[in-house]
Amino acid sequence: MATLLIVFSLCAAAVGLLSLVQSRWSKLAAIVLGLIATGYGWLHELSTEAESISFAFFNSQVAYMWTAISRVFWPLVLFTLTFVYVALYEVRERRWIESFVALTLINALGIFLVFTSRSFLALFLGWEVMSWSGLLIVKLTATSEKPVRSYLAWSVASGVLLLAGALLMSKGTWDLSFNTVVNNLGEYDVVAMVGLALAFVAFLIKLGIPPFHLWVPTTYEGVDPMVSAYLSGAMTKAGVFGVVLLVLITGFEWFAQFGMFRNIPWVSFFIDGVIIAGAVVATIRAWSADDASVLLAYSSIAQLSYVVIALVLMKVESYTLPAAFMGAMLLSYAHTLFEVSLFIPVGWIYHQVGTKSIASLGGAGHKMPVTFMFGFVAILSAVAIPPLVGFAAKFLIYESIVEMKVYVLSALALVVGAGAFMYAFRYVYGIFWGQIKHEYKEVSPVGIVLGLFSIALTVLLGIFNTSFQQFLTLPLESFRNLLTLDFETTTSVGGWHSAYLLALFITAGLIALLVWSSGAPARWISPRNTWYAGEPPKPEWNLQVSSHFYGPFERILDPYAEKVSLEKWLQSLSSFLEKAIGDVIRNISADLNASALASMLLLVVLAIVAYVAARGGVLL
Amino acid sequence: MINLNNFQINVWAALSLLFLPIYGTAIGLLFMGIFRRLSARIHQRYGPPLWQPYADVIKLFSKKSNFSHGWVYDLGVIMGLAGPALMLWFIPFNGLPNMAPYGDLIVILYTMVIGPLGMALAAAVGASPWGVLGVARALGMMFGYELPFMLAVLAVVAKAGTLRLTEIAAMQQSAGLWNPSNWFYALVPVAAVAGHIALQGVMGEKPFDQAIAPHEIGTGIMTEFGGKYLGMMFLFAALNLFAELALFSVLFLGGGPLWLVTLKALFLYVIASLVDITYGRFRPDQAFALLWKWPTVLALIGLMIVLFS
Repeated sequence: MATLLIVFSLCAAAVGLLSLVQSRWSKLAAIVLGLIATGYGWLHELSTEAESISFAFFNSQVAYMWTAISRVFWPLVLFTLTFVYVALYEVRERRWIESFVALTLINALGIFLVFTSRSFLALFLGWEVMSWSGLLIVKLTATSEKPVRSYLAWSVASGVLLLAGALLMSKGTWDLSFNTVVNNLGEYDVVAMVGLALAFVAFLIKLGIPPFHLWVPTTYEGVDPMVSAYLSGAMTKAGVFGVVLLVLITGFEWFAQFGMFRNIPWVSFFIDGVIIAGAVVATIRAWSADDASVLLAYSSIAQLSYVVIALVLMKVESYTLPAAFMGAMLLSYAHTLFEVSLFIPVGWIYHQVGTKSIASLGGAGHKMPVTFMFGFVAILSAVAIPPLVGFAAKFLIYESIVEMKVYVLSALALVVGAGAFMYAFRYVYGIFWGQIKHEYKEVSPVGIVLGLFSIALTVLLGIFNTSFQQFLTLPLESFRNLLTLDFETTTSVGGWHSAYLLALFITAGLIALLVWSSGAPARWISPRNTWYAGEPPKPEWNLQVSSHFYGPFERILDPYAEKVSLEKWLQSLSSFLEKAIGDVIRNISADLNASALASMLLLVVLAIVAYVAARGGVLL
Repeated sequence: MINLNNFQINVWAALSLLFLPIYGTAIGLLFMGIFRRLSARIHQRYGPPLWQPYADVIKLFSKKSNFSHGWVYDLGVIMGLAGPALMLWFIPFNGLPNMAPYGDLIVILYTMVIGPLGMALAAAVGASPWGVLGVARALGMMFGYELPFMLAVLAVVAKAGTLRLTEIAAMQQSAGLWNPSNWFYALVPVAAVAGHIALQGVMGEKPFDQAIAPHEIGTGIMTEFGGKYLGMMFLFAALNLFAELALFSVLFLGGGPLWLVTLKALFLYVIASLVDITYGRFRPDQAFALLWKWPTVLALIGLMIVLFS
């Protein structure tokens, strides 16, 4: 663990220094250094020893330990880093790449500390490293002050709520270890329970779950899509970790003490009710968005809602992992994979044509078919087409909700799934197909290797989803036991077989291919040629359906969505937070940059290592 | 189920599975012929012969000049036809090998979307705005009918306590193949009626046929298709029609052997056709509002009756 911290810090510092140079080769060197650090992160993932770092801080123990749960979460960050760094190679922008790599390494370190934390104080320290480096990442490519202020306000709110929640859960004793908190919550102390609620809200803010999601679309809209890819793929998972942690600390039995309705705790009903309503609204907002990043931001919000819905309903058994937990974890992986794979093509196109407004895009797929396939398979996974990983995850979540007999919630979750097809089609058509725009004549295909890798991973993780379930149930043991050739997932209400489904899909495809081949061979013609019975439209005609794509449905649903989501009220709250927090901290953050932060972090890490060594603390 | 120890049974199972989409397509085309004939008679016309849809498909595939907009366009139509074939394999028919034990209702509901998604992809590649408007309308309507349809299906799931279609079918047949007392249409009637109304939307029949709307958007998705591509679209429509009707029959009308499910599907389709012929097309917003009001309320009441009885 200590070596990983040092490797990441050294690489961050080195890349931070490169950001001062910004020469012809500095971008490449930064990416290589970033990949070296990520490679070491992958090596660490193979480690099966329960390493730890711990030291005392006042009355509280600050402890970090490499545990099974850390090993499950850490690849989410590594996948994101690997994808984003490789994708950066295709970005012609030189101004911010080095700083971005340095800051993401620091941010990843912060997330690593969150994943390995063994007390709320340790978690808070990691949280702050993550949040502040995140602020600089956002600031790096922000087109205006708005996304920075929004991110900053909600981040600070999240940090304050987390610290306040932890202190209340410790009942003011500063003993913030997880064990103490579990004991305090076991006594159903009102103060501790208020603390739990505050910490839960803090994690929901980072996850971007309604009604605490407003910063997500605002921030993603105002920054480079590569930045959004990182924030969505990696940083949201710190929120998932927090929710998992709280659910494991409290759980179904604990919730049940506040009353039950048809064998389900009222608390779970309330939380899931609010979140599913938010997910429906997020889906509506996604399909009516014009900015591709906003569309993906709302899709991310809707998709991550499933994770929380499943976890809050989860009934933990001592002898087996519940389908809800497996589904939530698999969806976290699927989410990282498809969100990163959706943002990256948008980023590449954005850097070639200078816009991510769907109204101005269209036809890119004619010039960059592999880039299209990269995004297309990712969006198929997002809408849960079997046997891709997105389906494998959502299957477990649906089954877990049906197992709990919450049928109305199941129906609404399936409806959110149906709504996903609407924004998925808008992404596919609005960006890649339809009329070839004049601006796209010069665009060149990019990302062949990364695209093929992403497609393979999306398919394989779906087919081998049972191996992933094994990964959750056999933590810190030999990797040799992980790969299983049993492809059948069975729950108490149903099941599916991923290998048979793939085989049948291929067979059905071959039959369809055979039927299609029975006709005379087709001749390629431009999409514009068959229109109006042979009268090709003039180049200046706009044939693209660019805006108000789902106009009739938007008109009918928008007024309800506005009321349900309390958007006006939340917007006022957001503005208040931005004003209250933003003005105070803006001046401080204005003077920070990547190299300064990287150097500071390196010094802090070295100081901690020296301090712990001098005190004879555990540093394995 | 496929028995790996017996080669003869394996060959029989594989052939049966391969036969199923061919049968489904043939029946779907026959249903389309019946609809055209029925519609003509009600309009006091003679109408085309029953075999007209078969002739149309043969003609389309015999065309010597076919035009494509590229490999994604081709992929879209192939994916379109593969989707309903895949779905059909997971629907259990008595006495016929099927893959239902390897994929429950959630799998079927998601494979149901593959076909339309493929066709939507092909429509998107063309530059015609009508095709894309058709897709936009189809997806919007899907969001509309999905809520009542899912609530109705989940009422069945709540009653049966399982998502496995084989068990749902067996439960309905426990009193005998011809005894409708255990059919879910009788056991959860309110939800079944709601599901039946939503089925009209699932099949894209009037008043929910906004995705095609010939006088408004020039047949929507089909605008850009010609020759064998339009033939593929016809085959997709036929197979998809049969698969959807078969699913509803197995869920609410007891299922049974293939021939019996076909008869039940025909019964459902004739009702749907009569409604289609009688009604005009609603505006997309009107149709959507209708689906999220009465059928949804009915389905919700039906589900509540199941949960609290």
